[in-house]
Amino acid sequence: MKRIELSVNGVRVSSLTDPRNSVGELVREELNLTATHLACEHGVCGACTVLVDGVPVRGCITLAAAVEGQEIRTLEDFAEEPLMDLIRRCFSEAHGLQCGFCTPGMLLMARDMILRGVAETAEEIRLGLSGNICRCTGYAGIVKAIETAAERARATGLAAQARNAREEN
Amino acid sequence: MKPAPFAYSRAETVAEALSGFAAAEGEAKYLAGGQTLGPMLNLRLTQPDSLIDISRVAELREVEERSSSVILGAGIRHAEIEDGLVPDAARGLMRRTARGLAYRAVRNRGTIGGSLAHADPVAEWPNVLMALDATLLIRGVEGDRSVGIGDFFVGYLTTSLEPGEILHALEIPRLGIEQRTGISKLCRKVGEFAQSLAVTVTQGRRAARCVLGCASRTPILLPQVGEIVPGIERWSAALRPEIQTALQADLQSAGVEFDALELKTHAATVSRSIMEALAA
Repeated sequence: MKRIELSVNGVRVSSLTDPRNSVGELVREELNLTATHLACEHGVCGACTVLVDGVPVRGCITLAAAVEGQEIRTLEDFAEEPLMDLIRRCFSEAHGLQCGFCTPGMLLMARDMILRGVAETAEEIRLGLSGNICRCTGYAGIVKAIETAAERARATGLAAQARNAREEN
Repeated sequence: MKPAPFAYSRAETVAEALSGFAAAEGEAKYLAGGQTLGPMLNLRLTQPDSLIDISRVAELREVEERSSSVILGAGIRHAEIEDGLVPDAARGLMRRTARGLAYRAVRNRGTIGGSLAHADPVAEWPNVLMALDATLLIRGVEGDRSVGIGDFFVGYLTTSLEPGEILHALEIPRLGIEQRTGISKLCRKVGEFAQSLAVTVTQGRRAARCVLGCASRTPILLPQVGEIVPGIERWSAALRPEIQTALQADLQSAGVEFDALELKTHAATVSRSIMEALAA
């Protein structure tokens, strides 16, 4: 076992962890943050996406011990964020989910794509989503939701606002 | 949890990593971005006794610009190449390659050196760096050495790295302003490993360096295809049969077995990589 300290959703966490524990397991099993879903557990499906130091990574193939001292953010941390709220509403409007299992990963990737400015066209969005698998929707609703969210985020200045907040941190 | 138990330690310097490896009991492996090793551990395809994490070794993340080459630390991540945060000696080819490699969340952790050391012939970097004729800088307890990429890949998932040695950096020659590049990847789903992958780098009036992945146990050079390229003035679909014939000869002289479908598939990516290079 190895004692590690890291920040999860802005809270300092100290954990006695088995070195073979993944970040996904740490947040789910130990911290009860169950928005992060573990499914394929070999880096293919994207349901386990979390942010490490601001960028999305695979929670299932990233060892908790390897991100010691770093900042982890799970979907729970975005409950109050205006940009994520907008994305969530667009998912609801455009039928961007059915069972919802893939949705946490979809939302985090959508936000990352909007911040990087690579959610301009449906084609670009499909490319950006290629690492996130949905087994219900056929993706059309998800692509539409992100397209709409990106448009509104641009129009309302939410994208720029979230980008600035990230740079200040 | 999925992996079999292992001991974990994190090295801060290359020297620490090398001594950690030497001191480790049983089978040890270096862990960089972990985007290949992670799935292999989870699927228990590999069960090392210890992992030595080198993902935070600062020396592996250094970048040096020289007049005729760029040296990239092996720990540079795919996303950093994609975003243009490090210089692209290949005038855009490196960035284009990174963009098509796996998925963004994977590119945020996976490293170029890790991909080379894994030596999968269907992966992008082994083929692209072969076409660019990179040199690999290696460090070990016995000292430093460098090896041309053609001598680095010795078999399927097998390199000339000795046990414990670390791929430290890669030296990529700068392309001249007249040199053109093309890459073509064929896969069933975006971001998957390729079914066929071809890279072309023109060399002026000399034969182009054309490389094909997925056909053999290592990336292979296609000298006869390369000979055709300098003679082409403008791309035309009529060139395809000639390219396929040269490809067939190259595969035969490399001792590669292939069927009609594989030949056609590879001929398509090789042709597209040449077409892209000539159109650029």
